[in-house]
Amino acid sequence: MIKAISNIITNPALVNIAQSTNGTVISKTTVNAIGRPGFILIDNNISEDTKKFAAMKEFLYQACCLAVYMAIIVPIFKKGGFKLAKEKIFKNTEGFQHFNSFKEYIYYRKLADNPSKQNRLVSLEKNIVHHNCKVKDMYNEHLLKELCKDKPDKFNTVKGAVELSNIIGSIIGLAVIAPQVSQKLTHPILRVLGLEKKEKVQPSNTETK
Amino acid sequence: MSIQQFIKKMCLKLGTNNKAIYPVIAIAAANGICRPTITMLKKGEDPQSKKYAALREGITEFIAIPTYWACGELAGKLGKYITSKAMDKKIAELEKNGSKITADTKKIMKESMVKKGQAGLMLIGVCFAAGVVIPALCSVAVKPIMKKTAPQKETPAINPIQKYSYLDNRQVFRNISYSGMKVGGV
Repeated sequence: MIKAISNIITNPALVNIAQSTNGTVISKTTVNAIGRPGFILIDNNISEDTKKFAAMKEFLYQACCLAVYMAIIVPIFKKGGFKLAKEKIFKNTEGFQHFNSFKEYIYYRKLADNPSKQNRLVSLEKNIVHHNCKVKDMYNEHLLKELCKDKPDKFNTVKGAVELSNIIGSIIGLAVIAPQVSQKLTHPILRVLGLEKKEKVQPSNTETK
Repeated sequence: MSIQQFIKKMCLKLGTNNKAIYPVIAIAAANGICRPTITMLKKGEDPQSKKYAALREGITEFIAIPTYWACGELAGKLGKYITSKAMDKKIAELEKNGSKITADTKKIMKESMVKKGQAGLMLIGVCFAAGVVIPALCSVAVKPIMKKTAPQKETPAINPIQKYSYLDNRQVFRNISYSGMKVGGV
């Protein structure tokens, strides 16, 4: 039993999601989009119509958060954060000088995370199909030397800079942009779905003649 | 410590061990400030309703912060316990089958697995908090807190003339005739 649970929680895909800010925020927002409306629907203290309305509104808000996050925040802050840290904060030092993009760093990190030196050396000789070159051609001499060590340097600062930028991005996206976007989208969608009626224009003072 | 030094230190910490609770707590804290502010800045809504909605949002996020932290840390501890037990069993099995594992290798294997287990279960804990614990706590706790802290909605005293607006336009009955010739009056 313990072995089975251990296998699930140490699953590489789950661990990768857990250690990246984007993965955590996306999974948390998805769970929110299911859990919060679900709890509203099982509340027995409110009427059926109110329940449907509140649950749908909450679902739309969370869906909006997810859309804003994935469409705007992920691409901008991942690329922008790396560039800003490389050029302005770290000024091409502390590992940033070896990489031109975060994608390059992630490939290197995957190799460095492999505990077996033998496996790492085998991976370096493999071909990359879409680049038409070998894996080792992607890295400079310093990085190749590191990968041949028992414990290669993982350049944690590079990963940390992108994670910090992603955290700032998630705060801006989910706490500032998403509420404003959802406010503009939610009511028209609720009207289309028939869960909200258009406010009736009240007649001005009835004139008695 | 300059700001740049502080940022560098934070980057190193996040790069070495980025826990799932960091972004969710940061988002909850920011939501706790921004969502009520945005609600209060809305124009054309009843001020009492705005105050009520803002307070409700603030309380929800205030509940969310410690819940994320507690659920994440508890799940992380459980993950550490489960993976270290599983690794002990696995190493014992390997040794039983005749493989020789040095103390250093055992330590490295265990540390690596424990770190993965902690991270994996922490994410599950955070998702459990987001999807189940926080909505449940909010549905139980928000109403009583709101009753104690929310500004009571005052029912405005109704002006009878406003209530019956037709009175404005109706000719009010008077018992003295103001038209025509006065007889014997001053």
